[in-house]
Order: sequence, then C-alpha cells, then structure tokens
Amino acid sequence: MNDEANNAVGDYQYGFHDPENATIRFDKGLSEQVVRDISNLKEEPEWMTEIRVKAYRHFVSRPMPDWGNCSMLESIKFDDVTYFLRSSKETANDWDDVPEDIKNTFNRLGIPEAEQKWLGGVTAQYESEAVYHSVREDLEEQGVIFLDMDSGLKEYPELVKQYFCSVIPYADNKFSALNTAVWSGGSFIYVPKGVHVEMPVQAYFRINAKNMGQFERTLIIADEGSSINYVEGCTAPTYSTDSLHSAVVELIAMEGAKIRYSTVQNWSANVYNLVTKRGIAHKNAVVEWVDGNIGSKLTMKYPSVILKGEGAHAEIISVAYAGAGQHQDAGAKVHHLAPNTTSNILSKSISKNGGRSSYRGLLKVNPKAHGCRSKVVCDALMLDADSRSDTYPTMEVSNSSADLEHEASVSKISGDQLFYLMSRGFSEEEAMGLIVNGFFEPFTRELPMEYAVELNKLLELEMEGAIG
Amino acid sequence: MNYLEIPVPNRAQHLWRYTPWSKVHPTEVGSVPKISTAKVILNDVEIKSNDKRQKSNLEEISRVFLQESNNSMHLVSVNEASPANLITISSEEEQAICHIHVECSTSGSLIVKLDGAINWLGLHITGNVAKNCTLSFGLVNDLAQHSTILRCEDWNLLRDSVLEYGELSIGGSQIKSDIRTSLDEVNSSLTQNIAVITEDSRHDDHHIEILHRSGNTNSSLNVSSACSDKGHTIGTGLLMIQEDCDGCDAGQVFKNLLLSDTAKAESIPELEVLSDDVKAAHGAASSSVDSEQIHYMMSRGFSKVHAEALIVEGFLVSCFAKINNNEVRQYLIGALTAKYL
Repeated sequence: MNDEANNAVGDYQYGFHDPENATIRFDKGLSEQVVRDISNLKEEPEWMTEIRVKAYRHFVSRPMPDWGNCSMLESIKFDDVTYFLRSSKETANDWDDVPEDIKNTFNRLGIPEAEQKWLGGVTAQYESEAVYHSVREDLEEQGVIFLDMDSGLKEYPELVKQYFCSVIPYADNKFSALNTAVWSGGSFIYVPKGVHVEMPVQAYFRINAKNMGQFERTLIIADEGSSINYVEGCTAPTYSTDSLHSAVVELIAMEGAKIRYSTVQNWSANVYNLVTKRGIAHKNAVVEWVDGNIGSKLTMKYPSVILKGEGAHAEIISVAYAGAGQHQDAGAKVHHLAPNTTSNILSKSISKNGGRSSYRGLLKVNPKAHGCRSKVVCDALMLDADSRSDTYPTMEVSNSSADLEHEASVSKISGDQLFYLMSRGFSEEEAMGLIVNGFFEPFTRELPMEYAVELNKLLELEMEGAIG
Repeated sequence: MNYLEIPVPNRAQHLWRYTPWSKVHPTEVGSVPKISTAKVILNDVEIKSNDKRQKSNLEEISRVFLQESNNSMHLVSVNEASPANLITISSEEEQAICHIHVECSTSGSLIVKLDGAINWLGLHITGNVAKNCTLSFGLVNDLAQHSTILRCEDWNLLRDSVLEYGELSIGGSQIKSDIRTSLDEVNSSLTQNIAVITEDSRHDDHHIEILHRSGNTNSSLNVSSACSDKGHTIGTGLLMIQEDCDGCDAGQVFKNLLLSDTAKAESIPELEVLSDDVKAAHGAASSSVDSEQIHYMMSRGFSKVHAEALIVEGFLVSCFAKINNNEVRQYLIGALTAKYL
C-alpha cells in the first residue's frame, strides 16, 4: 500500500488484498455491448437482457443527482471502473472447493467460523459473483430458497421475473439504473408461507481488485406469515484509486411476514457506496432495516419501506461514523400508504477528524392512510471542531389523523460524562470510546452478537487517536 | 446578477420545492414589470419612500426581482424618540411592492400589518438590530383571501442584541415567505414564533433560515400551523452554525395540527452544523386535535365546532407566549382572537 492510500484509510483492518487471479475480466468502461456481454456470459433469458439494456440507456441519459455531495459524485470516473470480474469458475458448495487465495481472504474475515457457529446459510461474494454458497439442510427441506442471484435467475426464472424491479424500478434513480444494467451476484431468498428462519442467513461482499465496481442485486421474498433475518457485511482492500459499490436490495414482505435486513458496511475509505434499498410491507407485515455505516469514502443510502397493507410496520435503525475524508449521507424513508401503519426511525451519527455525516429522511403519509403513527429520532455527536453534521428531514402529511413526531439533536460529548468516567480511572480516550459505544448501543443491541462485538471493535479502532 | 440572468429555479431546489416561482411571480416569469409602491402608514401618518435601496448582495431570485421591479425604500427607525411603532401596508393598486428598512438603535417594538384587497404584494423587509438593543417585531398578514404575497426578510443582529419575532399569517391565498436572520456577533439572540392558519385552499410556504456566524449566539424557532379544508402549510427551516461558533444554542420546532382529510402539511427542519461545542436541536410533529380534549370541552357544553376552534386558538396563542414585549404579544393575540370571534 502506498503512503497516500495509507493516509487515506488509516487503521482499516481489512485493508489487505490478495493477488488478483481473475478467470474473466472485462475491460474498463461501460457500453451497451458490455451490458449485453455480461448478460450473454451469464446465459440469461432475453427479458433480463432487455431490462439491462433499457436500464443502461436510462443510466446514460439521466443526469447525476444535483443534491447531496455533488463534488464527490462528480469525481466518480465511470470509465475507469471494471464492471465485471469473475474470480472463480463456479460457486462452490463446499468450503474446500473455494480457490485457495479467495478462501484465505474469507478465512481472514472469519466467514467459515461464523457459518459453523450461528448461521442458517451463507453466501460469500468475491468481486462480481458468489464464490461460496451453503444453506442448512433443514431450511432447504422446509422449502426455503437461498441462492446467489445468478443461480436464482437460472433455477427460478418465473419467480425472479415476477418480483425483479417490482420494488425499485430501474428508472428510480441513476444508480439503480446502473445496477440494473450491470448487476451480478447478490442474494435471492424465498421463504415459503409460515416458515420462520430462526438462524440468520448471511452474505459477505468483498471487493479485492483495483477500480472494481460491485453491483450486487438482492431480492428477498417472505411469503405470508413467514420470517427471515438477513445479515450482510462488506469490506474492500485499500487502494489509492477508487472503487464503486452500487447495490440494489428489494424486500417483499407478504401479509403477516417479517423481514429484518442488517448491514454492517465497512468498505475501505476509497469506495463510493451508492446503494438503493427498499422494502414493501403488505398487510400486518414488518420490514426492519438495521444499517451500520462505518467505512467508505461517500455513502448515499436511504433504506426505505413502503407500508402498503393495513397494519404494516417499518423499523429503521441507522448509525453512521464519518472519519477523515468521509461523508456518510445516510437516512431513511417511509411511505405510509395504508391505514393504521406505524414506523420508527432511529438515526445516530458520529463525525470525527473533519468527517461529515448527514441524515436525509422522508416521512410521507398519503391521504388514505388513516391512523398512522411514526416517530423519528436522529442524534448526532461531533467529536471535534473540524467535523460537520447535517440533518435534512422531510415530513409530508396529507392525512389529519396521522400522528408524527420528529426530533433531532447535535452535540459534542459532554464534559460531565467524560469527567465522571475519568474520575473512575478511565483514560480520556477510553472514556470517549465507552461513551461512543453507549451512543451506538440502540443499534448494536439489534445486531447478532458476533456482529455487535465486531462493530464495537471497529469503533474502538476508529476512535484510536480521537483525543488530541 | 440581473433577474433575467438568473435561471428560473426548478422544484428540485429545496427553497422552491413546494411553491414554484411561476406561482408567486405577478406576471410571466420572463418579465420584470415596473410595479408601484405600496401605501405605508407609520403611526397613523403616511410616509413616502425616502431613499433608493441598496442593491442586495444576495443573488436570490425573489430579492433581485423585487429590487428590479421597484427600487424605492421606506426607512423606519426604532429609536428613543419612537420606541413603539405600528406600520400598516396596503395599496389600492392591483399589484404593489414595499421595501422597508428597519434600523433599531434602542429597545423598542415594531408591528407591521398587511391589510387590504391587493391582488399581488411584494414585500422586502431588511433590518439591523444594533448592539445591546432589543427589537420586538410583530407581523400580521391579514390581506384579502385572494391575494398572492411574495415576502423576503433579511435581519442582522449585532453584539448582545435581541430580536423577538412574532408573526400571524392568516391572509392571502398563495404566500411565499423567505425569512433569513444572521446572528453576526456574540451573544446575539433570536426568538422567532410564527402561527399559520391555512383554510379553504390557502397555500402558505414559509422558509426560515437562521445563520449563526458567531459563538455564544442563541436562536429559537417555533412554527405552529392549523390546516383545515384544502389548506396546505409548508415550513422549511435551515439552521446553520458556522465553523468556530462554539457555545451556540439553537432549536427549531414545527408543529402542525391537521383538521381535515384534505389538508396537507410539510415540515422540513434542516440542520447544518460545523462547530462541535454547540447545542442544536430540531423537532417536528403533526397530528389531529386530541379527541379527549374535544370530549372534555363538549362535556362542558361546547358544540364540537366551537370546542375545536377553542383548542386550535389555544394551540396558536401558545406560540406567542414567549414574546416578552406586551404590546406586540397582545397585538398578535388580539388579531388571532379576532379571527375566531
């Protein structure tokens, strides 16, 4: 790693990278031919190729967003990105079949260990495609489909066709169009009626190559009365050049179903993370986003829920940590379309060493959504005078019976709290770390234990040198 | 920059998201008509415009437009000779513009009332509150129901100054208000209390910017609105605390009471904070009238309509409770109560 990159990423513990042994690597840059080549290579049905091409044309014609961190967005060089890279000939179902160098990477990230201990299934994606995939036999017997998205399309084309782009159309925004054009990998999950997947299933995304673009596509369908808990993690090596991650995640919770989608995003500080995540909750369904943003150069991610059926509920917990050179533009959106729907949004952010964190949210109540209730809380902590914190909440209410609350605060760590902890023998740095962990506690308590421990470790690492 | 050089803002811009520029322009957006000056009565005496206004540094479209359409200015001094002032702005023309510049060099008050049946009114108020001075400012918009109003305000607060600001917005059908206050020097303080009633198809869009440019400055914004029929209330706040402004304490609250199924309310209280040793908070709430409160009032003999009107009145009156100046507070409350008589 050169000095410039080192300075840029600091103590990023996943900054290692392994030699790149690509079996297929597309040239840099994007064209309609690249889009068609990706589709041909994957032997996709024609309807998918058509969607990809339409999405590509939309991506090219659509201007960059004129809100958010425009200067960072404009610095993305789409022509320098590699849009497809295959590292393994096929997806392995046995850990021993995974190519040695890739296995090394995931061993260092602790994936096999986690799988043995507490996962219902796991997909490991390396560059553009899944390299390892497994699901517990008992889940398979119950009819749970858990596949990487490419295999999902091959094995269940009708199911994919029915729901693909149904929550997030390709023309939703510039980056959803990009993803739809060049998507590769991601997870496809279908949980049959009444089945509860007790153990979380996990996907792990790793970008290893330079100037790589990762565009995974995830589709989760929980049929009536079922439930699933999905966890994803992501890391990348530290290069001096930038990588692009632009995912699309669509969740469909049918009547009475529950989907929880947890993310611990820890991309290195040279990754643009521009993600569209949206769920639809039908009658009495619950969609929960638990979203942690620690890494990346620029994150723009606003998990959203469309409460379409009466009695549906949305829960969004989001935390963001913005260190030097980072802008975490995160938030949440909830559309109350049906009566008696409820939502809770909790957002917490920390800015340090000149980092910038922004909360951007939308809460919309349609005229027919009687009796809705929603609460939004966003708290921001600033650890030094060079940092910045913004809040851009929007509430649009068109129904008189709605009951909505929004509250937000920005502050620094209280001197009294620091003094109290230091008087009990902690150093200033330890005291600050404890306060930060406590500040994020509403988020970490929602994560599976191993993730919560990992997150706390990451925060401790990030907090090193915070005093000065 | 001239008006015609400024691109017409699109709705992606925060300031113009809910009220397009074409809706508040008096003619076609590509024209700059010459518009007559409104009639200004200060303490029962009509005053004439007495100066040419200085060109605004802001290249904001509505300010530039108002400047180019009418360049006159009324200077109003709040000083020891005239500490309590009442201005009435009206016009017999179809369209009129009024620019008032306020120089406050003592602790005093200024009440502005917008009155009459004008079709379109452009109003630009600028003001400076000098060191150690307190200005209590009240504005009552009681124009006819068909009026369109384009209003801009720019206030500057110097060291240890206080601006107590109260507004009752009940007149007109299409209202765009853009109120900006800059807390330029230490210990300056702003309390801004705005009550809005939108009924029938009244559309009231308030954009309120508060800029903390110095440390140890305080601001508090409270916007309460009651929306009924097809009324549409919009409140966008932008609270900015610049770098090296430690010790600031800022808060903004938007409350909406929705009284019909066709009423709409949008609240966007934004924060941009670049200093760490500050307190900055905002909140927004929307809900209907509490049925238990209605039930309580009805059990005391009020009809449902009367009970609801009393609760709404109480909700809006409480917005003015923080105004210390008795004259301004009573004037605002009186205008509000008259609305419900």
